[in-house]
Amino acid sequence: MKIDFVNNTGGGFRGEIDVTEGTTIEQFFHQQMGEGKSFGDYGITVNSLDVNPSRVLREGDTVSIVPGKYSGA
Amino acid sequence: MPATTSGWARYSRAHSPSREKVKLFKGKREKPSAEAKERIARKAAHMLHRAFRTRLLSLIDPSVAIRKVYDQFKQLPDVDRLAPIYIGAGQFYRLETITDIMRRKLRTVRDLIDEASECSERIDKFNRGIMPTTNGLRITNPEKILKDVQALQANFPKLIVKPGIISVTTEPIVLHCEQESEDVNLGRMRITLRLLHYCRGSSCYTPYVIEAEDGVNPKNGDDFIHPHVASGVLCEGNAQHAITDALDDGRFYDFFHIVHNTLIVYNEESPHCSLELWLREAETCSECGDDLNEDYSSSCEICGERFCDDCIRYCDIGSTAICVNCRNNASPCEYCEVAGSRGCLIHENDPCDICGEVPSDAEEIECDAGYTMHANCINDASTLPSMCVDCSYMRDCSELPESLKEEEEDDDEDEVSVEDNNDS
Repeated sequence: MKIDFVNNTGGGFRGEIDVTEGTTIEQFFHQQMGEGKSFGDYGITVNSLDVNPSRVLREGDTVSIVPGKYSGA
Repeated sequence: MPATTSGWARYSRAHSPSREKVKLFKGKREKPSAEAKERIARKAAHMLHRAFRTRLLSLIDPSVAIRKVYDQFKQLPDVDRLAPIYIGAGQFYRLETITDIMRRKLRTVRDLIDEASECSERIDKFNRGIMPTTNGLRITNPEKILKDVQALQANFPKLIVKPGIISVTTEPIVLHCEQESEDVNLGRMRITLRLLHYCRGSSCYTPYVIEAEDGVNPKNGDDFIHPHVASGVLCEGNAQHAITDALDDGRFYDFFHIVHNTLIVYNEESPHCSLELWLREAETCSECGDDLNEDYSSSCEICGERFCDDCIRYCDIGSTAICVNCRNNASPCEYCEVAGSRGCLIHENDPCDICGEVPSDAEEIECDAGYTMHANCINDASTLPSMCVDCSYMRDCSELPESLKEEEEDDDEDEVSVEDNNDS
């Protein structure tokens, strides 16, 4: 199934990607950001709503990942 | 004839608070009800969607694309302006050149047509709400924006909706100063999105500003409200791309979220104003006792104490800052004659080549050969060996020091080598 994914880290990524049915938010986060990253260090929303890590993704969802900290200049 | 009422008068009468409404605000404000929150969210979503739509349309404006292609078209050389090639008695244009130009013009016209039809198609799709943005995401629709606004209401203490602006207020921003090992509470900040600037999509106007709700300025008297905010503009650092993308896509919750996450971090490598200044005790003027601002204060060059600009004095030449006390007690400077002045610009003069002392501006004379002399030394003929042959002063310029002679020889060689190169 297809979902919209917005990655707000670094140069960022915005686009539609394929995920397998039954993928939870936490699994999706580790697939995209790598295993070493901590789920709690990021603000993750699905369709602009804060979600539980065990929430299962559905067709057409928009997942946005925002790092907890940015360095101003 | 009935008196006509202007549009503004009608508007102000309709929107001015009635007495009953004013009474409501006299007591303690109650939290808005769920219906009121819903109404505010819908209003904000409506405003944001209109602004987003206007911005997007301005970005796909066909006239902009057509103008771009037309400018390219204009840059192509015209056949009429080509230099003709003379063959015998007649004049001809080189055939390949003409063909090449015509081919390029044709390609440009094709580009123009393609661009125009693509724009028209995009506007058509946009109006039907099915146009994906350039990054492949589905276009932000009013429902999505409403969800964003509801998320803002849920995650920020206050959402303010006024004509032309949407703003959120953050929780108090607390930054940690590593050097002082202390936290600094900068107070609550207000992030305001200015829809008029946002609509224009121009980089000339910053679409959002940061203001202090109950901010604390640094103790040195500067007006900064945050180490990374100057005059309301956030220096975005590594959040720049994310902020721009969020605004371009109409992801307003992400936008406010990213700005907030930038405000809660202190990057000690490049702040506008160091966080330590919020912790240090304010420095005061040694004369009047007012708080000192770094940009409007100086140190006395004699006693070393700091004074505000109103209490510091300068010598006539302007290079020495002296406090009133030191100025009254010190002896006058031999050059500018101001008490306590030293380090005047006069010390920059070269010493006299005859007596070795530094002449004042009034006394200094430089001969055509480049020697610095006292006017008095020149007048005293007994100190001069002979009349200079190169210039009008009484100084033997032929007796040049060895170092100067070598330089002159080098200069001559350079000139010769340049000529040689020109000849070759």
